[in-house]
Amino acid sequence: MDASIGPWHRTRCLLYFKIIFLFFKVYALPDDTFSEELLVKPFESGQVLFHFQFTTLWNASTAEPGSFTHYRLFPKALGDVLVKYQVQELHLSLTQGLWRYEKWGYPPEDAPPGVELWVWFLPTVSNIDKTWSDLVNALSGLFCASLNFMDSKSTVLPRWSFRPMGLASEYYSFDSRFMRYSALPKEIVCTENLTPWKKLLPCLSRVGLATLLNAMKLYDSYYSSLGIHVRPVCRTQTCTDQSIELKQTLSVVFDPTISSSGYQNWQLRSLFGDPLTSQCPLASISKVYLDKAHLQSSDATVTLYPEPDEVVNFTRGREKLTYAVWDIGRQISRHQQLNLAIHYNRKIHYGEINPPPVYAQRFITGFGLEKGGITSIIYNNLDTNLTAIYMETIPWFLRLYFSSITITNHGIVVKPYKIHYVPGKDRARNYQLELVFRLRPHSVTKISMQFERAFLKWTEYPPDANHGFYVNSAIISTVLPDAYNYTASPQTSSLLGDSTRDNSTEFFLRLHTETLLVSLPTPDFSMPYNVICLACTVVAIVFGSIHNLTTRRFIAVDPDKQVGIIQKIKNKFKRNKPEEIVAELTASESVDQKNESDIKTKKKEEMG
Amino acid sequence: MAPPIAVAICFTAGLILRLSLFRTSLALWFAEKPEISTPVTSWERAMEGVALSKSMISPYSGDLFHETPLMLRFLEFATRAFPADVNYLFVFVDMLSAFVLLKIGNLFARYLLQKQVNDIQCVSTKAEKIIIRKASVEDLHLILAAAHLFNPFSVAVCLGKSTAVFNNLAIYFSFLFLLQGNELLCLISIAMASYQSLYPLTLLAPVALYFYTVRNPKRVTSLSADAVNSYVRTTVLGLLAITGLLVISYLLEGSTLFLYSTYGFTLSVPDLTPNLGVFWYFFTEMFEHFRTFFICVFQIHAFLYVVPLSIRLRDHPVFLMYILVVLMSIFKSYPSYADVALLTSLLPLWKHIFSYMRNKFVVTNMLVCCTVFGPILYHLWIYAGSANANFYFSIALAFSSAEVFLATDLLFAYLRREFDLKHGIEQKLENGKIAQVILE
Amino acid sequence: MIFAILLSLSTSVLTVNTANPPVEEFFASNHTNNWAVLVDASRFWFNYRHVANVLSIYRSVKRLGIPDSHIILMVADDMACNPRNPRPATVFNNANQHINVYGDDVEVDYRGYEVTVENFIRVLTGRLSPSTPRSKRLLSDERSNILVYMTGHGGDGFLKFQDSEEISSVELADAFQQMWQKRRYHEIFFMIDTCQAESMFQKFYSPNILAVASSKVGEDSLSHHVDPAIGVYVIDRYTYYALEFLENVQPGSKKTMDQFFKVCPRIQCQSTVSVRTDLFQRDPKKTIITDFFGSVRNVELLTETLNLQDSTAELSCSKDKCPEDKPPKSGVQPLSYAKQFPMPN
Repeated sequence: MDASIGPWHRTRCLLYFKIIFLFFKVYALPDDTFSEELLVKPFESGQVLFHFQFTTLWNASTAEPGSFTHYRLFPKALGDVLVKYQVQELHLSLTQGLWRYEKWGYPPEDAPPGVELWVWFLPTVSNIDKTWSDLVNALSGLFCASLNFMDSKSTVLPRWSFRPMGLASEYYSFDSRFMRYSALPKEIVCTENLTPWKKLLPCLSRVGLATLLNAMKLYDSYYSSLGIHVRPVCRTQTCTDQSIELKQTLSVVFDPTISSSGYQNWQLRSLFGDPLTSQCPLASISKVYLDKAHLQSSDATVTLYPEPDEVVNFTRGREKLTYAVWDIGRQISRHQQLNLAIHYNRKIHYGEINPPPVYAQRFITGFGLEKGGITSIIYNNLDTNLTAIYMETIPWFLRLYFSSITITNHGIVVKPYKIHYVPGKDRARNYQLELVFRLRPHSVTKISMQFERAFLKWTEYPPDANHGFYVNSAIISTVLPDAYNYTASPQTSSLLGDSTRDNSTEFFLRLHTETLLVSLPTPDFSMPYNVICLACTVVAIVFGSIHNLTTRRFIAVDPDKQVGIIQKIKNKFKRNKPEEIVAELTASESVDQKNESDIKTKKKEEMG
Repeated sequence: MAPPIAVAICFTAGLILRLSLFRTSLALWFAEKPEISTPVTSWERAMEGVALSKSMISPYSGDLFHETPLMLRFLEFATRAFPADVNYLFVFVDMLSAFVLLKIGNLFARYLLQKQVNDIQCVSTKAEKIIIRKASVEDLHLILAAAHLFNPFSVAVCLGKSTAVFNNLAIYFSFLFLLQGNELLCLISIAMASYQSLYPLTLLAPVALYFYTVRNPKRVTSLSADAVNSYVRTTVLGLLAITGLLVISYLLEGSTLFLYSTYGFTLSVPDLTPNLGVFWYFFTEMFEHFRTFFICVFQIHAFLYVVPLSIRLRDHPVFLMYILVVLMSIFKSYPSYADVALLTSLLPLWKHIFSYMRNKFVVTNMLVCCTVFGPILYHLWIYAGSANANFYFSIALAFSSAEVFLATDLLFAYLRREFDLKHGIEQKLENGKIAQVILE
Repeated sequence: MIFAILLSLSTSVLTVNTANPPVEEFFASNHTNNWAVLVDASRFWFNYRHVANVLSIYRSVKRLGIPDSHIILMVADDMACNPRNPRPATVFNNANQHINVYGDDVEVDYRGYEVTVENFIRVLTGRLSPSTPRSKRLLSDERSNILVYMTGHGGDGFLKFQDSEEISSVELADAFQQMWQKRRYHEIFFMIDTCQAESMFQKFYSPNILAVASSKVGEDSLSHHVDPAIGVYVIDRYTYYALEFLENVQPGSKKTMDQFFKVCPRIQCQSTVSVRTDLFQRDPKKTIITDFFGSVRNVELLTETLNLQDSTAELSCSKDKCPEDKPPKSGVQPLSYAKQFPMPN
């Protein structure tokens, strides 16, 4: 049903969907729902976040493979993979650009630059390492990314940082044996990743919110992140059964101030190339939310076009928030299109931006290609102590010194509550570190560690060896008491809109720091033959000399009868060559000499 | 016999030199030099192992720590007992080495003279000039001690806190106990050294030869049943000692993981950090298909020469032992200045053959130049980025070549002197001309 | 399934018509499916043009009907989303931005470091690890026509991959021979745009290979023009004109391979386009270009009638009748969400 639609005309496409709808209405009760949502959040810094979320809920469970038979809204391509590799939860993100926490607060779905994948397997999987490697291969085909490079060298089993997001028993969620985490910080994300991602949507990108996803616009942005999140969720309020939830997310951050000459004005048409003209007919919810947090704080008057269908005021934690809501279906039936626009009456005023409560920076220290260090700085702007988990995965070729890991807070050494450290093994396993420690109120905590750069074999360097090697983001997990700048939807709900009904008091936060680029010393790639020859020569000298001295005896001989090397060569020459040639040679030599003397005399004449 | 006052001055000066240099930044600088801190001898890595072990993580589960379990226990003890004064431990070990060398000098002088007396029947009357006089070896012990105390290589290794000094000490002890004729202690010293760095296993051969001569001073052949018995006895004893150490390690560790981290790491050369040898760049540039083959070839060389040299030098076990020490430093997978320090400190033992050496000047110059240029080119490659790996490799290559020339030249000089001892110097031919001596 | 049965019924009705001469001609090429292996072996921004080359061919074969699942696209570097590209997510064949050869639904199968000689040979010969996904496999058979296009920096007898390794003409010839022995192709059209390109097909010895190269041995293949906005050459001459030609080919076109070989004469290419037809058993003048660049959907006719059983009857079951459907659980312990932060706060 998915790929063949391509060339058809849009109206025919709609018709087609309606037929499918009817077909299923006859044969099976719909046990799945789909919703499309868009959250828009203008930032104080002038950029605007657009977070698309497409959620498919299905009364099925990977634990019961039999339930994955009659696909309707759920993509079969992904469903097959989930069932075959017995996946309980899967979280994949493909990101280009770095999320700026200081300027933008927290994203709805946190993701590091590059690709990140973490999976919880069902406890029934027998060989998890094998299943993982098969799974990443399958996903690499599905998403056109080099996920197959997530081998044992780059995969870790975090002990505390990653818990299941969905339904899970206590016993299971504390057993990191069922979990695998890997990231490829270097992976580039482009249209070829977006294409297969769009193909998983039930309406493809022909109708609905997905029509806005134009690659040329999406990748001409500050930040863009694709996500696939699969987890089991409660089917009903009582939660006796589980459903599977597939969340496809796409975050993109634009800077409209560039094209609107200093004004933060934008409209969907200018940012995405087209306004919204249709609603996915399969979606039960099609809504656009606009977070007005940073609109109210500025003194400018802001006008929203068109008028929102609804304005929701709510509190989350202690934070008072306002969402303007547009129902896409209603807007389109009224205006034929939804070209959401914001108009400011004055230029953007660049000022100091309130950073979020907790954020971090990370960088490389040291110089030269021998040693180096990694330093992370974590800021806590809250009035309370926070417990944080810091996770670091460092490739094996940066040999991390465990003894050099120090945590300091304003110069005072902080003793971690817990440490989980797995030393790396050359060419087999990377260094893995998890630290649990306290972030004091209004303080800056510094974590530093030293490493030694390894010298690799010449075949182990990538083709662009001098570009450097990437190090994964560090991951900081903590729980915030407040929802300031917090946009993620609550764990128990599947929709973005449910944030407005969130009454939890704790907000789990996961931050990804910058990825790092480290240069390694390189050998001369053009030298193998020379080096092999030279080194073997030294060995040959030893062998030759010792062989000579140990197998031969000293003897006394007559120095006159003793023939030297030159004489030996001469003798050989004489024996091998007929005398005529020797004669000839001497003759020619004399001729040469004669010529030479002639030239000399000529020269003398000329000079004279 | 040198006056005790000279010895005392020598030791005091050596001690002050080390202690005062430890106060400078030179110590840290040396500790970072790849020529001093190889993966197997680096103090930083040793301390990493201690830290891991303190946190209940097996140091052998990672790839940073390559010391043996007993060494780990010793270092743990040392850092706990003198947390701030671990420098003094290294100075102490160095001074102890100097003391052992002093003893070796005395004993070896006696040994040389005694050996000369024993072999007097074979000495030509015309070899009077090269006969060792008592006066010429009187100061040997002082020269040896000084050669160690003021040896720039030993000083650098001590300041860099290379754990190879313990290994070197064990080898010095094995020389000492050999010359003292204490077989058991000698074997235990060799076992300790082999347990630490594997290669000193080869030293069992000269020890076996030596103790056979000690037991049967009037032997006829070195291949009689008696002789073979004696060799086997010594070798088995030595191997038993090593096995004992390994068993103790296993009991301490509770797993055999350490075997890979120590001996496996030495034999399979997975760490390609630059050092003085040729292994690192050779295996960096090696084609993957041939890696295993060439690792075998190179490692065989470390043990191969024991056989021909033992046969040729069966009557000169102490010299054989020394030559094996030199070859060890050439064919080791992670050589360092510690090995150079070992061989240069013991070099004065053979000062009576120096006159027969042909490449003294070349070898000295090569060693000096490489020592000076090594750190410079390393800096240019790693820090300044204006040179590449080839520059440093050329230095390593030249250094190895210098060691090769030294070893072969010594061997040549020794054999040549033996020839002259037997046949007299300046042999005359029948026609009265002075004969030329060549290798046939 | 019902549709499928109807379809099979209709085909079996069609079998009454026996093959007549025009139909024979229609099946002249004897192949049933088309594949394309398109390789850009060059990394780094200054090799932008090689990516544009390979994407030009990708665009054409996709437009002419080969689906993404039958195209193995290997691109060694990302030009479209390269930070140096002022127009992200696009790769143009021309400084005037005539054609965005990258398109908006590209699927790259091997990219970045995955583009190695080993992977290329493995794809051709099918010797991939069992876990390799279908999209990365060349699942061709003895009825497949395969277009193999390569571009990059080459020399006499070799083509460099990512500036760190190279494939030799002998290796390539052996790979094709192995494909032939394994019945992995019916006909191959080999096309290469690189310096001294001709040398890459001189060693071929397997049957049914038609080859064209952008230059003779000793000649350089030149790039077409530079785009001042991105600062590098955007496309190579030969592929540029090949794309120009292919843009005018429609799926039903009767243009022949012979016409295609005349693309880019020396005056345009500044190198001599070289062709090898001796291994190919058909006349290039009668071989239509869509035999390689398009995808045929010819139907094979069966002479006998097949009786298909409706196996869907057992499978389809409504919600209340399905035997495997469990009754709704009652009195089961309610499930709960996992705690996200395993530490006390």
